[in-house]
Amino acid sequence: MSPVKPRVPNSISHGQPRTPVRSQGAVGGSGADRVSADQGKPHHDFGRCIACAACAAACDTTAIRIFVDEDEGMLVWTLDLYDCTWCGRCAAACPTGAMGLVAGGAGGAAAFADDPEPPKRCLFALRECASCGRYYATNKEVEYASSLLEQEEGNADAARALALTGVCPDCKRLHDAKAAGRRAGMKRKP
Amino acid sequence: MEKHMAVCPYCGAGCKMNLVVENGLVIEAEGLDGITNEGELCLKGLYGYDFINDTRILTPRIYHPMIRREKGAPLERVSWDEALDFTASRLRAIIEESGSEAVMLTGSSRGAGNEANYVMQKFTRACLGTNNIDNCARTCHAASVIGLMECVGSGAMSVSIPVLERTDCILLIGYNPAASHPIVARRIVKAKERGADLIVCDPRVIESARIADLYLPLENGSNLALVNALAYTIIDEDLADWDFIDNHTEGFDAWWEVVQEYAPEDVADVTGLAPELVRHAARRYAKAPSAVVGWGMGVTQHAQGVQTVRAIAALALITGHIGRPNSGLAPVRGQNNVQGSCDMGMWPSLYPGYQRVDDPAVRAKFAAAWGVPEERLSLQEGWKLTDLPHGVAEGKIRAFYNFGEDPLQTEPDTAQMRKTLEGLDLLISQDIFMTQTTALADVVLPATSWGEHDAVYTASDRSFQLTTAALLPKGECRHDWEIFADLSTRMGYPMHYENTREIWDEVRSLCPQFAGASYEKMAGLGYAQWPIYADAADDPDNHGTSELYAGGAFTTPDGKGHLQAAHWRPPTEEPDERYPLVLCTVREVGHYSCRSMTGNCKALAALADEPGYVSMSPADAEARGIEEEELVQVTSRRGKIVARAAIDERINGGAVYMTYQWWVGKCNELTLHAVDGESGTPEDKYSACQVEAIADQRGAEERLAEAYAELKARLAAEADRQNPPENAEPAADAADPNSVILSEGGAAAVVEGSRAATANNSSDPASSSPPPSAFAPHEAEVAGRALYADGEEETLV
Amino acid sequence: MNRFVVSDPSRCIGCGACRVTCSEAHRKRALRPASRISLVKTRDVSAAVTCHQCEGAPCLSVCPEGAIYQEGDRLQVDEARCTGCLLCALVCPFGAVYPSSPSTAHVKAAPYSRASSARSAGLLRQKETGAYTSVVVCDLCAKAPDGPRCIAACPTKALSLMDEGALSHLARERRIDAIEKTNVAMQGTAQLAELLAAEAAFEAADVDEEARP
Repeated sequence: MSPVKPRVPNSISHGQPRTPVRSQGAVGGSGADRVSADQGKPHHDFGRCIACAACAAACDTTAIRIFVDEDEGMLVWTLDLYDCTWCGRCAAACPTGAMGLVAGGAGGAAAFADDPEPPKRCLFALRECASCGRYYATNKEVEYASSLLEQEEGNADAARALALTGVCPDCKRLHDAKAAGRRAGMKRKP
Repeated sequence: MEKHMAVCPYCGAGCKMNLVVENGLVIEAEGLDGITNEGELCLKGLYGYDFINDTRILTPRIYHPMIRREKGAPLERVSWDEALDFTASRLRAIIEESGSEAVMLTGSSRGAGNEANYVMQKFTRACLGTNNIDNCARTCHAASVIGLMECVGSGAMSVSIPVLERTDCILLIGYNPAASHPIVARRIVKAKERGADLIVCDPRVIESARIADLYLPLENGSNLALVNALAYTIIDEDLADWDFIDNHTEGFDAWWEVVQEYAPEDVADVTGLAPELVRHAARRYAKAPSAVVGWGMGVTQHAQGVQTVRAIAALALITGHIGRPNSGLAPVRGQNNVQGSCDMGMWPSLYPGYQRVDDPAVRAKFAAAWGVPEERLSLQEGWKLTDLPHGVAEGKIRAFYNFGEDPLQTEPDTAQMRKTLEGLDLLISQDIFMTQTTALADVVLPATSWGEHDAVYTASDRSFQLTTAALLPKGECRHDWEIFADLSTRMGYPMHYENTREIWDEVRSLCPQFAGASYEKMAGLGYAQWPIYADAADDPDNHGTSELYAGGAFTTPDGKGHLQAAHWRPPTEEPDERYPLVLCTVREVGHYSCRSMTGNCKALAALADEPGYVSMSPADAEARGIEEEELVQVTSRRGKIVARAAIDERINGGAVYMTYQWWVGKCNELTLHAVDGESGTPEDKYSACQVEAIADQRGAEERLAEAYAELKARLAAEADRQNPPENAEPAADAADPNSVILSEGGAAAVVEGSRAATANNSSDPASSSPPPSAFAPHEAEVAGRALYADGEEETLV
Repeated sequence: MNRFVVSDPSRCIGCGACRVTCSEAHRKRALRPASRISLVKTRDVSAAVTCHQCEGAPCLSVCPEGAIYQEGDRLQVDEARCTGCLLCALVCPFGAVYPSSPSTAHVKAAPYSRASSARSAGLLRQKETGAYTSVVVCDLCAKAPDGPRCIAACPTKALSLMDEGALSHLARERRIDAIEKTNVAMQGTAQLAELLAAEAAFEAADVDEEARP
């Protein structure tokens, strides 16, 4: 058995099996042997990945990890198959289809322990908040979210949200509080 | 499900609530329509109940008496008989050797209630024969009590809390109601909406400053200069009420001799305030038809606390804003029953009901009532709580009976306090929790908690209210008054009471001011505000005196208000190059005092936890390369601690603010133990310190987590000694060290530590317990760093 | 017209009773205990900030799992469906979507596994620790019988539920706000700086207005 480092117990890990399978469609790389199964060896498609970290949150064995390098302005995403149990939760959690599962031998995870692959590491540039200048998300994530919002035609709320994707949630809360302050200021006037 | 009426055990607002009990556990608190809270509760009231259930989040409750047979021996569970006999014989031995003056006691201003305190002071005076009894008002409002008793006659609030809502002008000095008394802050918000003027003097932009009409951001430590400048302006611009001064005050000329040097223009350098702003504030206060001055620790916890209180009293006296409706003085008390402790004579110079110990007539009355010869009761004023360190150092105090307090957490200069407590021959701690002080004690006496006994509390505005038991006593816990009565009986002065009502009736019979406050009057949502004389007892509509000194009738010996002034002088320890920042201790809204109660409440513990914050201005933070939420090192001449930085634009430059609840980030390791010479109140609001960034944040986080887990484990191990071994084992087995982070935190960490401690059986179990696995650094972090060096890199976006 | 909880900074005393109440009310109903409210404090303002229950909810639009849905006039999160991708938290115009962990134990542990410094905002820090499995959004205490608990708990009555009547009071600011934001929004993110400048100008104008006697 590979050393299992417990991460956070969560409803995904302790809950019922999910029905995660999304179309794996035309994906680059080793698309040939990809399957739509609940379990299997994870495969990561960098092109689709936005580093939202859902896979890392879902991963119980910390095979997938996130690290923020503030000096370089990078988010580091890592996958170490040594720790992976082929549970498939990362693929289930992935919102973009970047995590897929590859059909593997009957040996499962144990087989891989004997045949270690080097850990995979991906870097994602971070976005600075237009208002406070702090990092708050990856560029790709912001662009992905914006593209989703752009599809919402005629939705004023989505348009407002789109205009503000460049601002971090902390600053948005601050602006909301200041707006409340303005309302209160008005109320005091006779 | 059943509901029991209670009075909130936290601040002095005196909020009425129902405790909802199910299966022997308190599961909810509901606000009741009490006189001060009108159905509202703050977050401590709403969620501060579950410590009764012994959640063991922070520290376990104690259920069985324990003793240390000799210094350095481990605590050992014994029967009540053995514990009390042991205590009695040790006390007797010390008294025989060194006299009764070698014993010092402190009352509890918290959940215990007036009856327990009354019995304790009776034990002290009638049985031990000393006046060495004090209470924690010493560290908070002692300055107000002393200053106000001299100037106007009574140390309490002259107005009621509801009056704050009706007055035309509220002047707040060194008082942050939003954090200390949210339910009082609510009155201030309502007053403001009604159109009252709000003037706030505070170096920080506190919540009330934010909504104030006039905000005076004075320099830390310049209170007296500012108050004198306000008084100067009132006289200078002829805004004083000369009729009131002529008819109801004494000492104007001598007072003016001093105050005339405090023109706002002349003290602008000291206060840091534009003279016109000070003058404007003085005009607003003086011209208001009615006005209340509220103050808190920001005034009293300075070396000139008493003098500042006198100066504030003078403001009210020269403007006549006292003794008329909706006007007066409001030193709002911090603890639910700190007013009650003072009422009950937990004061080295006062019997219950503010009757002086050096008055032979009073002594005769109490001696007769208590059935002791007059000589038995001392005419000598006793030690103050803040005399404890030097009293012990000089060998004058050998035994200390600590009742429901945690001086190791709440008193200034922890290192000195620890030395003091360790230097005692006998430390008795009667508490509900294994606190840091209790862990040092030679005798540990488990008492019932708030919610497990009936009691009368005195709210800050002199209102007696009744709190009732919601639960039966747990384990072997006994009511505080039972313990004192039993101990007194064993020491040769028999005391016996059936219930709290019997004790309370004795109090009423001895204190004319409280005579009308019968249990009937306080039943349900009833209250009785002292002075309430005997004739009020039978009149259901008479709730006593809402506002003191009606018509300028002061309760000083000559019936006049006394004007007294003093010159401002700089604080004791001024910042210098090495320690350039002013450290000021403040209040945490979600936690209370030493945190043994709120820290064991699930919701409140989740809201704020170790190591606490050190709040500083953005400029000071930037100059030190400190970023928000980083751990920083705070140092002073007394010690150094780690705290988390809160960079807050509400903070004035040159000063930092810390709350005093935290064990790891314990600001009292840093504070200076300088006291006001008259009141003995420590100068907690002003000591010099330095804040430095820590380069190794990860290491600091780890050390912090370890230190916290170790402290918790140490106290849990001490508390564990009350459990017989056969019970301890299954508990230890159930604990999975890895589960600590996932469980409710405290409980599992606790058992782990206690097992280690028992195994080692050393006097310092903390140092030998294995490093807690609970707060290991996040693995993603470690791995991310490792992989950064030799992983497979894909693309850069 | 959707209703939502608004805060009156002239009454708010920043005590946090709303946050604790929010967390307890949801915990007692077997929902995530994380507070759906945050408390923002500036020199001039203290305010509780929470979900605006936008009718065209952007959080709902971007959710890849369909875990956020509209139920009547409020938003609801299906905590079992949510995967914690936090796209909703990123797009919320008010920053009112919060990552949450399954129990309070985690909330307590969080400070000790705090990963990065303040140079990155809260969202990134949360991703690093990974101590969440779902988001939470104000659901107006749908499961509680008498409406939002925070409103009931606030000791100064600073919180209220905005309905049509209350909204009309605020028509002016909201109109200006909305026009400005949508105008700029329609032109895309490039004009963000302008939007912020416009907001600042609006604020400044407001301050001037207040300063006048």
